[in-house]
Amino acid sequence: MTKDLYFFLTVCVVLLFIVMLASIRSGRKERVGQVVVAFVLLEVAALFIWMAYGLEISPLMDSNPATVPVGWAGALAVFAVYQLIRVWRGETPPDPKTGRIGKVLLTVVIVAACIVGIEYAGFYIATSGMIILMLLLLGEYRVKVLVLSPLGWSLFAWLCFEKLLRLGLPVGKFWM
Amino acid sequence: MKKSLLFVALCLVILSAGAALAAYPDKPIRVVNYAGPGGLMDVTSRKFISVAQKYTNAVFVVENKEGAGGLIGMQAVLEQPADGYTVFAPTTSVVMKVLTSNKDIDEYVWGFEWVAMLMRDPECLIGSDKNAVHTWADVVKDAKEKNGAQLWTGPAAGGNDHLMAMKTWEVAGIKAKWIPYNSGPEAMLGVLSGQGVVYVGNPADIGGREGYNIIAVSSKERLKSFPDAPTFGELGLMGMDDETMWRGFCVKKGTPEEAMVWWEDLLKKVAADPDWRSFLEPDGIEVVDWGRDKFTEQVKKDVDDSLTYMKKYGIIK
Amino acid sequence: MEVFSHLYDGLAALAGARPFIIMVVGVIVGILGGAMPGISPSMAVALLLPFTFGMTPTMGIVMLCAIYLAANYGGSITAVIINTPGTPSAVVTAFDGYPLAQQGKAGWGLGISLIASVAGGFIGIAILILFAIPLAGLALKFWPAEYFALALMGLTTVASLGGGKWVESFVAVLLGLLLNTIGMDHMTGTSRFTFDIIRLYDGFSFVPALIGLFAISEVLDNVESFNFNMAKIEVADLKSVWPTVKDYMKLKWTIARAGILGTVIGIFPGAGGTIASFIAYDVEKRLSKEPETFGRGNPHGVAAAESANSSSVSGALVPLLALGIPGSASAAVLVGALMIHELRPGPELFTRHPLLVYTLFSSLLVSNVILLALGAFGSRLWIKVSLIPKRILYPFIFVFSMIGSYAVRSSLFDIGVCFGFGVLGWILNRYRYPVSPIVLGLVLGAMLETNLQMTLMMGGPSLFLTRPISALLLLLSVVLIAWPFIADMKARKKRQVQKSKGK
Repeated sequence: MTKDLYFFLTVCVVLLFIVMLASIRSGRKERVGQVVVAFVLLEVAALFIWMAYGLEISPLMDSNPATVPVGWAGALAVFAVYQLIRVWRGETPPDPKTGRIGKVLLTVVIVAACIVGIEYAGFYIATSGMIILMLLLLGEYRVKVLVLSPLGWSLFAWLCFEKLLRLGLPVGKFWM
Repeated sequence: MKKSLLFVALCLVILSAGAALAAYPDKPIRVVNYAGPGGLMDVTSRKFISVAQKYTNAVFVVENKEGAGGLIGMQAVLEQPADGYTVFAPTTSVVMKVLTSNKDIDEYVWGFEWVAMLMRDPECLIGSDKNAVHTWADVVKDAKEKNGAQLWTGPAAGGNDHLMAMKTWEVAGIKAKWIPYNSGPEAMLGVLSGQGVVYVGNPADIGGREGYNIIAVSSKERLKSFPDAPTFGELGLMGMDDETMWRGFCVKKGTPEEAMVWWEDLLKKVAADPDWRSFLEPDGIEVVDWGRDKFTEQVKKDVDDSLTYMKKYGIIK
Repeated sequence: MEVFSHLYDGLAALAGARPFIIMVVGVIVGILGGAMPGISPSMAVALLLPFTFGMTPTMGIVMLCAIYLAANYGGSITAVIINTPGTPSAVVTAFDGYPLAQQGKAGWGLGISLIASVAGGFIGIAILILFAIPLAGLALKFWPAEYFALALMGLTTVASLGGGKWVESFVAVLLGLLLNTIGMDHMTGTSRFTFDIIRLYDGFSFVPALIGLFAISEVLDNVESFNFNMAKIEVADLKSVWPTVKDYMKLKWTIARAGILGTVIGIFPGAGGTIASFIAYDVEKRLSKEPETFGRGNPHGVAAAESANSSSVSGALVPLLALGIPGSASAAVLVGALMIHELRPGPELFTRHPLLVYTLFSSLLVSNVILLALGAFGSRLWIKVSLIPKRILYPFIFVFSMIGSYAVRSSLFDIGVCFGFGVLGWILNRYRYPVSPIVLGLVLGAMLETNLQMTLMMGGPSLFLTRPISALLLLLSVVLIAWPFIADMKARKKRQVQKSKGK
């Protein structure tokens, strides 16, 4: 990640905040989510265009590797802007009601922890841990299920992938 | 009491010496391919292993770790301990990939010991007799007429086939354009259907496919299996009789000497095997049994050569 | 009519316990491998490749083809039950298959996908047997200009994928196209947007992204909105109703059209079951009297998708047998299998080993029948999966997705890609952006760019119009994209006329 890239991303984040505040202040609080998503997509398009101009043109071949990505990104930017205008004008339904976002974020955290965990504790332990945590998160408290599920899973994974397919599953640095 | 202790100690020493002498290989050897199943090197590795089973009880497991033109497979092998139980199956194009991707040559090329080179497969120019342009004379004439718009096909941009094409253009004094297709067979189809005029590949590519002919082959003398294919030398293109693609096996540097000698030995046996030879020779491939010395020399030559040409043609800086 | 006598010889070669067992094993492995996300049909074929070395070449190829055929059906099982296409070609099956399962009609989803797969398979096999050589000639006419036009036609399906939300759909497809540019540019060998991560040199691995966009985003969505304590009540209501023969007969034209379309598209190397199923789906949607029901559980959608992807298997064998060029990744593995047995794929096979070729054809027919039997039996088991309470099912979907994403190239990075796309899909879905156009963009991006650049190199933009097939396909694309707008305008005019009459 070069310094230029950091700068670009910082500018993007700042602009996003400004746009968010603007939409809340101007009474569009019930569409803030859509504004943010559309604006982020616009920024992604801009990012790709900016990165594309850094691509070297090889003297070897006639074609320019930047042409098509800039084409897609440009079109994406145009449509993202159009969407932004539609949302701003209130032509879209309001943002959906937030459900149990907390649970979703916890889910993401558990999964991320599992992926990291695979490197240290190995595939079987990490995924078994994930199964147990997720079962608890989703409201399954029966001990039988909590114990049998990871065991059943580990057995299946071992039989199917290690023995049958001979695909090595990652072994952790510290154990298994 | 002392005597029994001494006896036990002696036994332990003998036992551990025995364990240390447990010959390589005493567990399965993983052969890592960078081609997908069914790909050229994958088929070659599998055939090698099936022939090798006549000469050894070793257990081999073939794995496919495709991606990044071979870099992912190389990385996978380099991440394993240097104990000779993880072996990489490279071809010339993997070395080229390291160069074009600006990867550290010391890490990716010289981090390996090049223990066994299986064959030398001559590069050649292939055309289609369905096209009006299918001999070298035609090609030269057509190139001059099209003034740089003549199309040559191959499976990638910047790879060893592309490099071969550029060398040929330079030596022949013609100008042409390179069109990369998604795969070798598709590039060949491109010539058969008339999109391009020449496909750069190896004589084996013709096997079983109708409608193709070899325009020129890189070899000192005509190939026995393709007696109608003129050599570059015969056509007046000098200095191009040693363009070959090799396939072989390499292990991580630091692998025990015992393992490496074992591979060199095994290769000698397989190279002499009639089954192995009959699998390769009909395609004009030269079966060799080069061990570390000659293989390393070949790789060095390829690296130096390629770097020179790549810089010259602007593929790398 | 010597074809039939050759076929009879081929069938005779299959008589016996051993060939039968080989085909059954192949079909089972194919179904299971196809159902498991992360194990692609080519991987399933590759897995059993070593086992074929001990067999005669003919039997080896028979088994591998059985796997290939069955795997394309297998992917639809998980697509329908848990919105996780087991193979990329089953993506489109999920569009209507999963909603059917959600409505408690998993039996319909599974039953239709099986029947359509088998029927489409038969159509493809028939076309392969009767027209292999002339069709191969068609492959020769397809230059990059034609491939580009075909991909463009595929892209026009975005208009119908999104339903009424065309701005959001266009944004989604462009995002997919843009993300697909990450990786090495095929034409120049330049690495684009990879941040020097070797795992990105070939771009995002497609299967993990697919699993993430479909399965993971769906689970996250349900986690957000469901009240899991209610799950038990749902279970009791679930009906395992299977469609009747009459219901299947209603789909016959859809299956026929999609079968032919799938075979033809499968012939062109590089265009596979996935593209075939997108286009077949779109065709059926446009021909349907109730297009708005597509994407909500319309059986025709499932039938079109499965028929097309199964028939494309035979399509991919056309260039393999007639030209020696594999029409798909799985066909490429078959090439390897042939080569190990020292056979060369190509017209030589027809002349030197005709019995092998016709035994292969016959085996495709027989394997298809075995698929029907085993699939019907298996469906009764698979449907039980939809009865598992969601709070237990979802963690398992996660671990299956993990192992599936990992399995593609033994990479932890791909697991991250899977869940990254899952979160992306969840967020986008939340704000009414459809996810399927992203997949379309990921599937078609490289095909569009590479063939565009190649055509420009070959003769410039005029080539698109001077080549007849390309011009025709491009014209079709324009018509397809304009159609909804024109239809809309006509309807508006009609309403205006009626309004003024009413006054």
